[in-house]
Amino acid sequence: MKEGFTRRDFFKIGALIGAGYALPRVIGDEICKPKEDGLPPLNAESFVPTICRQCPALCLQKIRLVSGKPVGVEGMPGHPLNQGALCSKGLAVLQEFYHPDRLTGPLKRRGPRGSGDWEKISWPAAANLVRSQMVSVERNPGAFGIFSGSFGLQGKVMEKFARAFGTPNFWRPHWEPSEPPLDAFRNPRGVPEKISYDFNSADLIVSFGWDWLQQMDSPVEVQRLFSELRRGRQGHRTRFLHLESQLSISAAKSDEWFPILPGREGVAALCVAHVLISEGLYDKGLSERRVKGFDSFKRMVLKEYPPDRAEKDCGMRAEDIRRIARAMGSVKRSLAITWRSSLFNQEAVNSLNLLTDNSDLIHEIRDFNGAFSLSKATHSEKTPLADIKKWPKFFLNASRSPIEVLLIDGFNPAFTGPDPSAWKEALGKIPFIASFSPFMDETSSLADLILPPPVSIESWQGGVAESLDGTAFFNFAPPAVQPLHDTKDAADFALGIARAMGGRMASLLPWGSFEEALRGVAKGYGAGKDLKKGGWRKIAPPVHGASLQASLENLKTSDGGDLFEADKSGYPLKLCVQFPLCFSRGEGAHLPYLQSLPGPQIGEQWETWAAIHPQTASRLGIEDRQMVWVSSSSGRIRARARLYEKMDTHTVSIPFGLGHSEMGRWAAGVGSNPAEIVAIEASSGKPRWQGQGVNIHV
Amino acid sequence: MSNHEKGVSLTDNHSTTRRGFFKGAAVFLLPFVFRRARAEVAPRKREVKSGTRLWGMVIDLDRCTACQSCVIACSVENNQMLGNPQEAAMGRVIRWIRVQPVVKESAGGSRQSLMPMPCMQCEDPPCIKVCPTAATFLDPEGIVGQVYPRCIGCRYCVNSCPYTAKFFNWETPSWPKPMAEAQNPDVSPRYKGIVEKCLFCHQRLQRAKEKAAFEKRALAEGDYIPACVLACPAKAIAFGDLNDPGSEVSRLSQSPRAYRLLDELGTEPKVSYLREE
Repeated sequence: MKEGFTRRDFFKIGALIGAGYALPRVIGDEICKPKEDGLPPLNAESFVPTICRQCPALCLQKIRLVSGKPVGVEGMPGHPLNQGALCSKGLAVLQEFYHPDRLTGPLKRRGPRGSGDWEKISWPAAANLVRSQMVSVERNPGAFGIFSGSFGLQGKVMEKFARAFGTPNFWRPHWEPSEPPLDAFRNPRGVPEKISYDFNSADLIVSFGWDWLQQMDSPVEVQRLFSELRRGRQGHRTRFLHLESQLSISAAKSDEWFPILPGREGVAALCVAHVLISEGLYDKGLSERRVKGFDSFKRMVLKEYPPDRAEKDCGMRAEDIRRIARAMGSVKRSLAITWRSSLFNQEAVNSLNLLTDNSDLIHEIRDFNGAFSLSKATHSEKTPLADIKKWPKFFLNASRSPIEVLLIDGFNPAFTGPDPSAWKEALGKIPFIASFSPFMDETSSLADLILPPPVSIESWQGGVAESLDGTAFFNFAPPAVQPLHDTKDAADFALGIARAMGGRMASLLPWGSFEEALRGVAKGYGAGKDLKKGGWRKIAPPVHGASLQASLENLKTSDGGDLFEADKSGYPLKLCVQFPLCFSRGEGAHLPYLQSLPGPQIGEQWETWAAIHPQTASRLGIEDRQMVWVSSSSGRIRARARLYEKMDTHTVSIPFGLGHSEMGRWAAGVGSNPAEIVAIEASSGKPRWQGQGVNIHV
Repeated sequence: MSNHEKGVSLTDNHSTTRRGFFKGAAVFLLPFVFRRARAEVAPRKREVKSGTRLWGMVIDLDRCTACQSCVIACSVENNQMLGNPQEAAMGRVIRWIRVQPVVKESAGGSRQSLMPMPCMQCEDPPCIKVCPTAATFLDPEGIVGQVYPRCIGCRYCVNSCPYTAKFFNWETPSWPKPMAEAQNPDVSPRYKGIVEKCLFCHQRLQRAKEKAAFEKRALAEGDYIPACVLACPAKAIAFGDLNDPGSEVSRLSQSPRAYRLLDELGTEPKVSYLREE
């Protein structure tokens, strides 16, 4: 055996020592260190305020963030309007934020219009494009127009932008099924912008065809109001009677439901008026003294609207008409309510409030969102060249479109219509359209440029939320989260254009960003310092303007419409379009959770159904769940027939909100759109949501 | 021994063979065995220790407007499946709370009541009696729980629930990116082949308990509120401890308007309704 330290030993020991140093590091770094990320730190939950922009109620919300990621939503506790609660649409806002089919950046049309061939462009390029289009009509500013359906301050910036450019063509869409019967009233300026019913003072509320729990604006407050009227006051429970062609949700929640032919509420109301007058149940002295045109109204009603007429014209029993009238006559405070349907219906229903001397339960309230402006009036107050109701017809009749550059913000008439195909055709005549929409909707698909804005929780927000009684609050909130995509607020975009245009526009819209404009408004309400925290300020108690004028003078002896054309023209049934809360204003079908809500009474979801009475179905040979066509003089749609006993036997009821061809994977191709079979009444421009003659066949 | 002789010996002599003795004994003991077995399957009403909370709910149908905020609040809180037309057509869209029309006949005619229906959280739940794997159980505070990894998807409980409040996952729920990011991290997602149900937002109870423990105080009324209760615009749902006689839910459940659904089955639901007038 060799003695001593050999070369081989040296290497051996060297290798061992080297390994001794290296191994712990390798073990530490490669083996012992966990491969996955550690658990998030505890208490990573936080809540940030935001404003819901699904409807004009502008509820303040609380977004739940876990590790900075939005994973939940609640109503803001303590807010006087929503009191910590939310409606179904408000609760679904995260699905809009995380929607996989949101547009990720601006798109410019490459192929022909409607071909779906788009290319991505940058925001500066998009701004240049819009600016150059606007410059091209600078000498004729009336050729520029804006539709703005955006709720809150964003819409105000767009209005100011239009005015600063010098065009009168700024349109704000109305949604009549959610509005009270404004046309039945007059103030010194004309038709009031807003009225409020004093439900709390009424002992009996009779709804003439208004599924108000689902349709009325400010849904959270409406649900709470009903609850309070029923159970909120010790020993006082408001009664509800409901006339509608089907047992809707409001009808089911009422004490009694009276089936009626759709659209015939005005005739029923005058038959009720007949009983009130003939049985002396009206407030004689007061009505006769106060109400203009009472004598001729009395003569007309007594002559032409005996309760028997309701049997023929409304499909109601005369006995039921008498019961409704006696119920109204037997309480001191009653309210007859309806929605903004035909002028005749609105005036006829409101005549009951005049007769029972309860018109003081209806107040005009200040339209804060309409009245409040960003700075002193600088606008041209000229009226737009066409009323929004008659817009498509006006454009289709024009040989050349008077509007050459159109911006559309938060409005999708190519789906909601009414008469979406006329809108599509009319939009087709406009040379340049830019649409602000977070999704590819039907209207954007016809545009030349699509500019996706951030969704509500990603943007600075502010606006006036108005309660049903006219109390107004200024709600404000910073962005709750970072934007997911390459988006830009429509107001920011408009301010950028105004800056680039320079001159008068830049001086009238001096803000560097929407946030700056919001800060200015917030300061005015004493909320400048809190803007980043989010919150609200009460800005006005209910102010009831001078009493509204409503007269019986102009009430025609008949509705003047051609509702009875149906039988002769091969459309023997009447359409009743239903407006579910989850799709209020025709919006919401792109959010999958909302798709499971529209038909709790029929057990339907994720499709369009046509509800008919079993007797009608058996007469027509239609079976439950069978696919059918529902056709009218305007077109036809496919729907699943559902037999529903709780409806009038001459009615077909179809929900509104489905039938998109765009709007992402959960909406496109699901169901049908009843707006396609609803005709527009030529004289008033009003769609015949109720009472359209239809036929149903296999 | 021939067969004939055997027969004679049993009938004529009245003498008992060893086999006969065992037979008789077995028959004698049979009812005892059955009774014992039955007692194990269906325990008598459990004793709720005083001081234990018993979570319950009261839904006032006179306040409820069937707006279905509760349905969406529940879906968001509990990572409910998104749904699609195909699943809807097969009745497979899972919603733990649903608004169901119930027609009630009375002297004045029939009336449709729209009832929000979560799990009734029975005190004597039929579902746990049929579960072969103890995947569903009654927890000490009265919530009927469901342990997803234990569930083998036999659907016995789905069929035994008289309120149809248990739901089977026929498919793996689809959560396209980035929609899955919206999921509540406190609630485990479900998968194909298992049964799920309303747990009274148990995760919120857990959080409330942790928070109270951290703040070194007892759980107070209002610390724990399920998502559906919080979201209700009509304030139609009361929730709390039925064992606390002072709680709103105890008070309301004693109202003359209160009733429980299918009470005659003896399931003892902890969800009560207040009828419309």
